[in-house]
Amino acid sequence: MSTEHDDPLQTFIAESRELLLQMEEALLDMESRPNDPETINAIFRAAHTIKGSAGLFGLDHIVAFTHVAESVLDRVRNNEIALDPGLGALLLQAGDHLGQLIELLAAQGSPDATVKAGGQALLEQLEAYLATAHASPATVRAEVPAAHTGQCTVDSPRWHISLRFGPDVLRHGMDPASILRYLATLGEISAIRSITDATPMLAEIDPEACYLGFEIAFASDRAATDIDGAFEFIRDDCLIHLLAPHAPLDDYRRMLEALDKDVGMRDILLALGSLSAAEVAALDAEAPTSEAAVEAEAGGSEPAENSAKETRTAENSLIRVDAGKLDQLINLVGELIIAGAGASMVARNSKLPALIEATTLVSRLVEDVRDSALTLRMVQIGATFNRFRRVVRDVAKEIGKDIALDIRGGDTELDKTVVEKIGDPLTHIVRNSMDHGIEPAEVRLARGKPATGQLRLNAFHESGSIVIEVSDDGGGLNKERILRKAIERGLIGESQVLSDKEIFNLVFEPGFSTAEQVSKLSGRGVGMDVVKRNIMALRGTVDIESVEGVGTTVRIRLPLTLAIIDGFMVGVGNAAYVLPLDMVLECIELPNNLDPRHDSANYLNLRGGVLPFIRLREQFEIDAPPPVRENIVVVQYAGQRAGLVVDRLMGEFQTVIKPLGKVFSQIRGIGGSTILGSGEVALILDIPGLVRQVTRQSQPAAAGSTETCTTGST
Amino acid sequence: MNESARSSRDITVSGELTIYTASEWRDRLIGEMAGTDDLRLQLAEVAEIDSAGLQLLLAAKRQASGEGRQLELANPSAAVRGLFDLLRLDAQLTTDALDQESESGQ
Amino acid sequence: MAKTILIVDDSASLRQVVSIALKGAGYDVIEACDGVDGLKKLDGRKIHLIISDVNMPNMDGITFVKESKQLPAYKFTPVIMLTTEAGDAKKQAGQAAGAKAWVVKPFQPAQMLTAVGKLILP
Repeated sequence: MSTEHDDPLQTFIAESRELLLQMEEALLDMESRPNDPETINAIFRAAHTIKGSAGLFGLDHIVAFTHVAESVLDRVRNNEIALDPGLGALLLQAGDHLGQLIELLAAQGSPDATVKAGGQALLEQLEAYLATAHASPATVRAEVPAAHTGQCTVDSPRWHISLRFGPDVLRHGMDPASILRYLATLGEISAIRSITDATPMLAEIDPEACYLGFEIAFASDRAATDIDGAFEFIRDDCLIHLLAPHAPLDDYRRMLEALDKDVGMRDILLALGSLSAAEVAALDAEAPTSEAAVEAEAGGSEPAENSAKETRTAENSLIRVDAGKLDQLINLVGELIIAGAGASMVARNSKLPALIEATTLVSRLVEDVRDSALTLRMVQIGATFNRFRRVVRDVAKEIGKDIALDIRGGDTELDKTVVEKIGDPLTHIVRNSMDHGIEPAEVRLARGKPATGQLRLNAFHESGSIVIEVSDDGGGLNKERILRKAIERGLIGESQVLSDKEIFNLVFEPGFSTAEQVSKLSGRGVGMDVVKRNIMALRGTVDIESVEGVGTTVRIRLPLTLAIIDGFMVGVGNAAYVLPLDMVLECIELPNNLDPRHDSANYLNLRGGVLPFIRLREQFEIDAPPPVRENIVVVQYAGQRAGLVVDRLMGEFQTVIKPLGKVFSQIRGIGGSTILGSGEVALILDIPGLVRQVTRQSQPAAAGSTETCTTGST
Repeated sequence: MNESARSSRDITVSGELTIYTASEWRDRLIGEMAGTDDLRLQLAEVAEIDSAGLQLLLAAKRQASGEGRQLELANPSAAVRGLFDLLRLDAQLTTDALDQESESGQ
Repeated sequence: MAKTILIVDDSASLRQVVSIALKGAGYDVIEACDGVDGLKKLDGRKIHLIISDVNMPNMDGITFVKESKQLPAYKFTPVIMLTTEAGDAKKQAGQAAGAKAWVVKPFQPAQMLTAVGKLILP
């Protein structure tokens, strides 16, 4: 039944590729956190899922191979063997081999002798780990004791099945009728008697409890395990006696003893034909001899399954949550703050001290909830860093350099969205360092450096940002060469004087490559300009420090989260607005020689330059009269500067960005909203949009005219 | 206990008579069974029945017999018949293995 | 009216294969990729049986089963848990949550059909 259905198989292939990738990542993680149970679990889970799905497709070679790996991992999981670097490396190879098998499957090929031999070698190594662990616990199931020799057996050629359902069976979704229907597919129910004595009267019945029992004579030539299997899922809850055809009379006797509450059992057995009249008579005639010992033994062999693995480590304490849900949560908390503020206001107006106190407490808790909710999006960068272990190891081998990776600050947290997007730029920078930064061993030795190159990934928090550094102890950047190239390519003029930093940052200019020879790794495809663009898209910055002959550090600075910006708050009338702080250049007082009541959009002479400005009061049609003194906030976007006239400057604060509702999306100049601690909503200004608006308005008017009057309102 | 003179009152059980609705049906049946007359549970409209439903019928029968009333299970639907056939309950219910007083009709 | 089975597993290929087998046997099948998705599918429609994996992202099978048992419409719906041969602890957790049936991975489609049949025949 292997490949009847192409589609599921394709799904399996894609799925397995992804799982193998996860497994590899987790294995590399292990090098830095050797005993992290969650990581071990993740590796186990990947292997296990592949085995599970492969089994469904009848891909026995994959099941067989994965099974051994899984068994080894299970031992690791149970702390029976340690995941040392040797085993880690072996498991990585096992993952690669599995990848090979999957790719062969994808290409509709089958493993050739080489692949098979490789797999076999790996299996042998893996099995060595199984052999060294103590032998698997014997789980031999105590079989139904063979018929007592010399005892008389019953004549009935049929099975006798006695069932007493436990009270919870129905509640668990098990319907005795369904089980009997299934049983009927295994043979023939020759005779059946429903035991309904336990069913109470209607007034007393618990309608969801089960009171039923059945005595069944059953004709079947199926194996005992099949028939027994019908009761697989109710075994724990029910009293079941399964007596084989021609079972010893003693078995019947024992069953009757167990069911001594049920009257008329002898008659029922007789009526069903399970026992003959003579056999029923014999039941009572033969006094049970030396049964006690047998009983005790049978009782002792009752399954003690439960004790086995209960000491397994506590359930992992991590849950994976859809990021979208967290966003939703954060939004809801925002709504909650608004609603809470409304309640507080009502409370204040009501002047009921107890109510005011209660709402104050609620507001404070809601704020705590908001802060906690925001931290939920934060993840450690360590996992991203650890991916580079394999990259560095493989690349180093490929380019024939000896490079050690040093990871620091893996527990530094940042927004998940940022983490996901930083991988690619980081990869490029790392490869660049390995390729162009770190010198070949002989050069290093000649320069008096250790032959092994050092590459370091570091992360830390600094004033509301996260800083990620990629450092190498390689040759460093050659300023002259960069300048020469930049001039060659027309990136800078020949006479331009640049600081060291400016020179280094030239490598992020489009189409710049300093390497003497283009290597297969970093010299092709995306350049450092793309790296910079990606980082800027995350509202981050990147710059380079380098000392020739000593090494280079590429430093990426990113906002902790995309959901929070550093904001600058201003007030107009009763309304508060927030501007992204990084777009604010300066704040000045609006010169009072302008008449604010007549001019909507104006121009201002700012230190000899022309600054177009816009009055937020008019932009957003605010009725409140302007104060005596207004301020102007100078913002810059894409090289264009503009002024925003506001009433008050309210300072910097961190702002949680909330998307705008439909109501606001029509208003020009607004990019989002946020909620202030007071519960009030502040709108986040769309600075790019405003700057565009201002500069567009300025086009028809002659620059420099302070008297031009245009309407700024929409 | 004058057997023939009493007329039976019909109670219709319909739809789903399963673990999901068992509590509901129990309460309804208790309500509808109030009185002293003989009863006939009309089962023609039972679309679905499971062991929980069966138990309720048995309990109703037991209740009635405890009160000295007759309760007949009438016109079983295909679903009810299917379950009775599987468990060979027809014989058991009509021969009245339940009722020690042995009072019910056919 | 065919009986409806909800299968919850993060392995799309497993869902597909099981789904094909079950449909072939005459059941209706609904698929969900994890516990969260599974709960979404429990929207009031009649479901006669739930098959759920244990290890899943977003919401694991144990939590999913616990949650499903809180829904009146699915309180008594039987659950088959997909367990591992090494997963006794999980099996017990699943049973405590209300999943009294299980199938050990890896399994063949026929084994799944047998297990399902013990609870509901098509």
